[in-house]
Amino acid sequence: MSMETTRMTTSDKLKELFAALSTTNPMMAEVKRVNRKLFNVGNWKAGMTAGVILVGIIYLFFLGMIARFYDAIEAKWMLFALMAIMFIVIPVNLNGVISTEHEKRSFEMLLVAPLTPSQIAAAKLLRGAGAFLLTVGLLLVPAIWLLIVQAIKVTSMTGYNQVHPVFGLISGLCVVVSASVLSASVSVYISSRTRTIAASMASALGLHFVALVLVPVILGISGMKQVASIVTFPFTTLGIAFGDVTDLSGTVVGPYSVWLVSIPFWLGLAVVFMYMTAEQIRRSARGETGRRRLTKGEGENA
Amino acid sequence: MLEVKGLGKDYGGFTAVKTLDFNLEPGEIFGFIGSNGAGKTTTIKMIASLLEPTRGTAVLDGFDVRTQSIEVRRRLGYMPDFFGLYEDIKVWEYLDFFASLYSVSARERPGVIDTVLELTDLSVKKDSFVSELSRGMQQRLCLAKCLVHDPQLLLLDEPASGLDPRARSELKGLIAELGAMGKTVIVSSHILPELADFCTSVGIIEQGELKAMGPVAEISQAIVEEHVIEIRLLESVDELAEFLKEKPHIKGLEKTGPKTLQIEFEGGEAQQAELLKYLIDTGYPVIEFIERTANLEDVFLKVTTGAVQ
Repeated sequence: MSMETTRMTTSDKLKELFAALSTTNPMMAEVKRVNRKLFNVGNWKAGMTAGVILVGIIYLFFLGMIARFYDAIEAKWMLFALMAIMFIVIPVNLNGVISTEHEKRSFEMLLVAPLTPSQIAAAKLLRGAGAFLLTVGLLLVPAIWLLIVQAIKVTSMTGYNQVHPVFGLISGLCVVVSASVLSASVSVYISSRTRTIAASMASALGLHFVALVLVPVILGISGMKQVASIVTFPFTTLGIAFGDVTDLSGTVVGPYSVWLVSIPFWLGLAVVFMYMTAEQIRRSARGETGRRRLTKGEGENA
Repeated sequence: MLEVKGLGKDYGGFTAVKTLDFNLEPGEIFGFIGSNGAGKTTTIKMIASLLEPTRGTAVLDGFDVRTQSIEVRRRLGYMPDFFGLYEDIKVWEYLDFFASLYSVSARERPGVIDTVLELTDLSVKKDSFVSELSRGMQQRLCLAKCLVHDPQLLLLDEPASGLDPRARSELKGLIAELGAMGKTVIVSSHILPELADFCTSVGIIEQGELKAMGPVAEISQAIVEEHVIEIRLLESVDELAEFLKEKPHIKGLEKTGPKTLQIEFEGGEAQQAELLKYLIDTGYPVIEFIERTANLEDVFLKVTTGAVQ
């Protein structure tokens, strides 16, 4: 994968990246491997069990909130909550996809296989898809139910008289999904740059927190609300489905049609991060990552 | 089959491997020997296309490691000195995963897995979790993983490190079997006597430079000038020691026991035969007259200086 591809153009590398998303990529066996790991009977680990319990608690809490407040929840806040949960679930699921390999020293086994860096990067992204889809699916069931109830104006059932177009529901969900794909590709990229699972987890969650909470708060306090609203774009664009785009303080920051830009924007950024991940793997394959890689024994001499 | 041409690696101002040139043929088991930091692992990684050479290249079966690394990787199996396995899956699942990466078809995979498990003597562990295997078994599983795509070249970096004597012996037998199957094997190790047992040739590397290469016997003949001969008599060797002091070709002698004597002999085989005949004719009751050939460790110590980079 390594040396010949250094002479590839950026365009060739992007083509290679998109081609790697197909089922012909041999590295897609990674998805099967992870499924086997997760669903092997008799192989339940404490960490996995704790994860399942945590997801269960979040899910029950989510259901409880909807059951209690279904007639008062605004749809955009429902999607807002869904996105906030995704921004926790995704980094937690994907932070270790490559850093675990670094930590356990199994990555060389992959690098020496006849795979391109893009094939490895794409498979590492998609291996999280199972857990990702399961989580989204679980969370979306009540969300969609609520949104449909509200959208089709069943006033007699809900006592709630707000009307939303189905188009708004779909576009709102598309925003959530596209921002989640970006979150996933950022998490995989961070995983490729870190050598330990702990560092990867801390960096991925930290980056999400800083980008989506800390920076907007600081900007807001500094009186730069307009800038803050841009930073919190994934959240604020949720308003598109239901009218004007507003920031977290309720200030209108954009028109309804902004969603047309938002979705490809997140997906485009996701591609950029996947490209950077593939480049990082390419450097690993040439032994260029991190400090000068001392071969065994050289450190002793030094 | 494998041609290493002017291969070298620098890290900034530090030269890890100077310039290596050697060729290996199918079925050859090449022992790569050197002190820590001599450049063994760097060389193996360059051949495995995991490290970009600063100069030179390696060509495996006509494919250049610098420009056709994917093709090279299809043809080699690499076992690093330190490695991790996916411990949360079963042994056969682990091999199935790697067989998929090497594009072994789904139809062929079960047969391939059974074959490599049998070869590495892990068939009984097929349905065990990888985490349940002992260190030696994990080592063999890693070797099995290297074999799923039937590579022509095997690169084994310190495969015996951390293994108990039995596991080492089993691994040695396995590597010899792979050589007999026509695979070219490059194996680096610090355990010199074990390498000598099954390597068809060795390369001694120091400070990134290949100091000697060839079959152990040839290297030792070329390098070691004097021969050590051990003589055992039926009686005390005191008189014989005095007698031999004045004889030609004898550089030194040492009593290693009341009835045994070791001499450093500078002559060739004809002179050895002449000496033996002379001893018998003179009436010494000779029980043993054996040339102690220099072993790999002797050769290694003779060739290298112990200097580090």
